[in-house]
Amino acid sequence: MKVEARNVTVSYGAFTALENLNLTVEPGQFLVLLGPSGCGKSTLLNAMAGLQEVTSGQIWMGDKNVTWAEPKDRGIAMVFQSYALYPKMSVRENLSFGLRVAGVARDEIERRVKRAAETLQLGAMLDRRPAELSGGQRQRVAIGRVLVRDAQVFLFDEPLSNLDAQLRVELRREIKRLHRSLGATSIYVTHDQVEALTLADRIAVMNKGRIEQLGSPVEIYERPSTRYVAAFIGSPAMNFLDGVIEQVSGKPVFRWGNHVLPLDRYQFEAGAVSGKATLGVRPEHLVFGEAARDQDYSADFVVDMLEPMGSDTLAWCKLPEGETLGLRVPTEMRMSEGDAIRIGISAHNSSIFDTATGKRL
Amino acid sequence: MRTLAAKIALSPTILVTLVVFVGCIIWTVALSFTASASFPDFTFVGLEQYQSLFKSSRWLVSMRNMLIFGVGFVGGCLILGYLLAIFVDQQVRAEAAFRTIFLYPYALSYIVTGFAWQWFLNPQLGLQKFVQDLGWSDFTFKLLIDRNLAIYTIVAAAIWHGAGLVMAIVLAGLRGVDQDIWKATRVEGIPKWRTYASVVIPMLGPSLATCILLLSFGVVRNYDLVVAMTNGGPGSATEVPAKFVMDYLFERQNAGLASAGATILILTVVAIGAPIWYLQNWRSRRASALQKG
Amino acid sequence: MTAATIADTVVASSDAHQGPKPLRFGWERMGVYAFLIVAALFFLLPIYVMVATSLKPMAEIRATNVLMPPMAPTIEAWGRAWNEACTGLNCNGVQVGFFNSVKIVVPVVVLSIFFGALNGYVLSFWRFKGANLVFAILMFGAFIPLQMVLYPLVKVWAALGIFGTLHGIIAIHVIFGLPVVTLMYRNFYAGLPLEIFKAARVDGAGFWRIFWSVFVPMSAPITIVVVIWQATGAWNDYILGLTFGGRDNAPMTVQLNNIIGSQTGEREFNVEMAATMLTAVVPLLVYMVSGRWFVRGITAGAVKG
Repeated sequence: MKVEARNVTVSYGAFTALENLNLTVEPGQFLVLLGPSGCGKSTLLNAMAGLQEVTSGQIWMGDKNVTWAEPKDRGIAMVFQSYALYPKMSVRENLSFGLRVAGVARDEIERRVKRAAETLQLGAMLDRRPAELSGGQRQRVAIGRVLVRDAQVFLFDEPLSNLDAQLRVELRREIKRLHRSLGATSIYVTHDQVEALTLADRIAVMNKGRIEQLGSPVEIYERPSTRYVAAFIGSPAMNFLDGVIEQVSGKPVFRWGNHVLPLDRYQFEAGAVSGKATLGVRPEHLVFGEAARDQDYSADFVVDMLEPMGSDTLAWCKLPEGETLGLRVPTEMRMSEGDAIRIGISAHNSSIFDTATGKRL
Repeated sequence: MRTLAAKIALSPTILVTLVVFVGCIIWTVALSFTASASFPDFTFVGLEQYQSLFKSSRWLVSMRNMLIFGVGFVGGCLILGYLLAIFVDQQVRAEAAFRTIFLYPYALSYIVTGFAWQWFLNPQLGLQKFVQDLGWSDFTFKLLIDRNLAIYTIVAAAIWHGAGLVMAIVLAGLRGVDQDIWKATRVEGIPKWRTYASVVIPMLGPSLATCILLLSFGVVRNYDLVVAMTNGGPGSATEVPAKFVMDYLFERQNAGLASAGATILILTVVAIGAPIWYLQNWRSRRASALQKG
Repeated sequence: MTAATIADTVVASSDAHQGPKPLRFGWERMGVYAFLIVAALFFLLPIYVMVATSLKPMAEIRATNVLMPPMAPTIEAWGRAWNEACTGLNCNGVQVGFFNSVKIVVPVVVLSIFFGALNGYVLSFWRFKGANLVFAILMFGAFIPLQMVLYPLVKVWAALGIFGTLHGIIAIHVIFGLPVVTLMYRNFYAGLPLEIFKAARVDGAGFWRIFWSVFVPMSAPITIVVVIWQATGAWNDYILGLTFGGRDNAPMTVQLNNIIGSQTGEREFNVEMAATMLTAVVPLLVYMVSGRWFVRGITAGAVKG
């Protein structure tokens, strides 16, 4: 079922959480709302759920305007960060409570609970209480509660944030598997970009109540539309250099300090411009060693500090004038601080942003 | 040596605890086995005092009244207190004003409460006259002078005094419930009253235990209120054990009998408190054990 | 029947719905307010009646009924209650009891704070054999009916020569308040980071130094609660005042009971009610002023279960 937010504004007194926001989620799509705390992603999710009133605008689900509908009448089901399981009920009772209250037939409830328990391997725990379960098990029960409802839209509010790293990876896979088999429209809120990149069909990167970029994980990663998105996505983070775009012999170049990067092979969004700009290059796109000389620009750097991260090491390399770039090297190269290294930048997999507005050029 | 200063600092309390909370209790229990009346008489008489006690109609009425009072007061305070807490929790305007109104009686002494209610129910000039003036000239509201009903009036006054306490405790508990649980029930379409009944209130077990504990001790200690409202009357229809003991200790000068009554009282306290305390302990131990498993 | 489909009834012709849902003052809301208002009336009625009666002359009381507001409110009865009310043969008014209560409550509060804080401090940070046992007995002492220890205590107090004296009754109140006050301070100190105590020890401070310089200054929140709790409790007490107050130190509650109990012949209800209100004024004032702190006292002292 399609979910739409049309011109949604949510404000409390003087503070505006969401400003004139428009978003469409196609049926069956897994959309992730990604951003840091306070960007408005949870507010948007709650507005779609009907738990948060919109100050203006509309929410549509399918072909129905549900702006004034109660959450229970919107055909949704929701998973919360704190699981929100009913502490004094067994797992079985937790799963069936909503159905019992709605008056669903006993054997139908049985069937659905059984099906959810099988899908999520909850069979052994059906008679236990939440306090007797581990964090990962509790979250499975919370997801189970969603499954028994046969809803058409699934909403997730940072469901994995309370789990430790390993459990997070496990449950992430489960959620992806579930989405593949059930195909329900899902809207997922998180601040963790790895979760976003793994799970999403499309990501909406949010900042201060607005959507900065909406696109597939690949798009967002390779062609971030603002500096904010570029800095937020990618680990280790993108390198930034401030400089200017100039025209040299009719061709655009990026100049910083006394270094020049020709921009012939750079894909501008809307024609070349000039003025203050910021160059962004991801650590893994920097070429080093002999191959660097073939790049659009290269120079000699000195290794300043090393951060080993397992199979790769992040090498912070300095230019004599002081600019530092983070470079990804295989750990087995056994680099040391003080080594000289030649680093090359290529224009076609870089990003350039207007220094003032942050927009991609 | 390091803890010498600490021991010295605690010594007055240790002294007091031993003398008052241990020594005097033992003394009283010992007295209950003697023939002491107005003068100390340490002849050991076994359970004679207890036998006299349970033959005394006044004592039997006291125990019956304590039971009625206990059930009525605890039950009434719990029901009214829970209802008040739930309704106040509904994001009403002037919530602070309502809370203040419901809780202020708890700040009053039982003596003041007793006299306020006694006046309110005064046969000549109180509520009865008000209703009579309105036209029902046959209306009699002699709750305080009816032998059978007087104790219920005391229960009502005590509920008036204590329901606010239950409300305060339960409200604090309600406000501590994770907001996500409310969101989850809203999404599942569970009506509010059902959420309170099946989800939230069962979560407030500890609050309930605290309320029952506090209220129950109020029952056993009930003395001031009875003195102010009826002084045990009419006749001895509203006699309560605490008052019985006081009267026999100081007015009727029968220390042995009174001590027997006091001992029964403390056994009642233990009988109520021990199971609840034990239950709480068992519950928390069970939960932590299961979590590890 | 699926539990989660969009209800057709809700979205009949709603393409135009936008923004916040308009508030409709439904039955449910009205019911909530109705209940609360009726309950509020129940709670306010007795005190309204008391105040109204105390402001009427006796003739009006006899003529009309309790619920009517005074026609021409007068504080004459209050003045007489304060200055002339009679306890037996003494007709000096409830001011006698009032000042007795003040003389009792103020030292009680001060001493309770001191001993409670000290005990809480010892029990939280200084472990020695028997400390926990003492604490357990002290807690048990919080629950015993007073009648259990009154008679022996009277004998002990008489033997010490302080029975019926001001010092005697102050001591009694402090003693019976010790369990709850100790518990409050102990829980408060136990909730503070232990590192504070350790750091002070490392700095070389001794037992008393740490107490006065480190923990006493931090104790403001719990001290406020204790002041409220003990002041109200001691002022409202009747049984201890009755037993240990003696003729000279009878607190206001005891005197009130004597006044109303000893009225022979024509009872002057307005004076009685004024006297009752005067007895209630101090705790009510504490309650009104302390607001949230009063409730905190209940939950702090009570929810230990």
